[in-house]
Amino acid sequence: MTVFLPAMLYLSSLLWRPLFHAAIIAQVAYVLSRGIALGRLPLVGLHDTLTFLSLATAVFSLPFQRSFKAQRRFLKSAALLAAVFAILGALASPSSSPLPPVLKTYWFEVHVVLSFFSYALFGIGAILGAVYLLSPDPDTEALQYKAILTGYLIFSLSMVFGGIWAFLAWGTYWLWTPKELWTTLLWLTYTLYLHLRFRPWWTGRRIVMTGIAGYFVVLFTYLGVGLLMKSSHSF
Amino acid sequence: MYSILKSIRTTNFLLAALMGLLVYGAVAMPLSPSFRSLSSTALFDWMKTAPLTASWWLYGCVAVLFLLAVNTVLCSIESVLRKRKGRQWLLTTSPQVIHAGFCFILVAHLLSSYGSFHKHAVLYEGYGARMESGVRVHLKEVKSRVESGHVTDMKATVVYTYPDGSTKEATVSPNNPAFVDGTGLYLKRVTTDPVPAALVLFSYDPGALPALIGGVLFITGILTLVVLKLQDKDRPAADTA
Repeated sequence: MTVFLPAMLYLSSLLWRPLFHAAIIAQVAYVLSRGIALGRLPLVGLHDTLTFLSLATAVFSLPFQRSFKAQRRFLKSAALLAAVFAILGALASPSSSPLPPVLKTYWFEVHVVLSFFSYALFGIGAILGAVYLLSPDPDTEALQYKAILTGYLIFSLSMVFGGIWAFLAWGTYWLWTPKELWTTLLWLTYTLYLHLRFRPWWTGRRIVMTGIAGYFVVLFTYLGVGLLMKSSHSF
Repeated sequence: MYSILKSIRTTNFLLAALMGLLVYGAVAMPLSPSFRSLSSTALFDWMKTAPLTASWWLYGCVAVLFLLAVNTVLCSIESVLRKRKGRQWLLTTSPQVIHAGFCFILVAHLLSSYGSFHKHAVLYEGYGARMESGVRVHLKEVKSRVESGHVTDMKATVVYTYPDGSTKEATVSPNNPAFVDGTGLYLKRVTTDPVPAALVLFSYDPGALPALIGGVLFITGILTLVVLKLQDKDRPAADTA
């Protein structure tokens, strides 16, 4: 039951805002307890990664919450997204088997943590895009840009660390597997977003929708590839 | 032609084209047995022998990336020349550092596509193999730890013997390869039954260092840009390419 507590608190925060912070505290406590039980960061398998993504989404939404007019709509959307990931994570079975030797390295932990931080920021960017579409405001679009740009930095860093780890683990910084290809596609999607912003025709709704579309690539890269395709990142 | 090559519209078109090719490749690769050897072979060697029906999209990617590299360089030069008298030199130069990193990474992939090799071998304890450089490597000892039926740790001690007779001992384990003459020796698996042996990978990748340099440049540039943009309280300007 405790595994569903953060999700219930996120959903309850739709009615009473302070519960959002309570949800974050409960989720941090859960992640810490799992980490202590495992003796490592809980970052392997659907249960742990979805829980981590839920927490990251909630935490990264905090700096954006006071920044603009439609903050109530933004907060509710962030809470809903965090709740969805928390529920999916709670439904997945936790993995407690010992780590294989190749995952026993700080490179793995840094690579995965940064990946999910960036996924969270891309999710925040998508939410801000949706808020913009409901009530267009240049400040909202600017916030979407900042969220995506920061997510792009962190995602690029996770790719660099992933390449270093791959070189140390598998002899090459690049592997021709579905995960690497889709990761590159994800990176190219946001590269395109950042460059399309320079074209006047793309300002406003078009660029905002591009930022939203990128998040679907995120979800497929994270969940679709892991669940449907065989690769070094399979669940 | 020059104005087309340096245009950001061209950049966007090329990025979209590259994405289209990669989407096709991401779908096609798992469906075709031709691609099974791609990760263990240098890309250009693989492309020479693979059927065109399987590899056409890779030729497309190479062509698009070449044009993207040219576009990146020309656009960057144009941007620096156009803004060289401006005060915001950090905002002007940080995207160019990003672009330099990107170009380094492209060069890295080019080098890897030409000159890399990856070969697996099984070494039995007390026996070895000869590398192309003439250095012999023999397996001195393997160790592993098993918990609840899972291998949780493993390592192997190897001895390199050079053509001049000198020797060097090294311990390899997952994420800790040994390097001789630029070639890495990676431990993939060990067994003690029926005899102690190790599955190893000999790997040489000339693109690794340029890729790292490119990564560092890229991150430095984008980090600078993010800090500048987050400090910018006004709506971000559109002409910082």
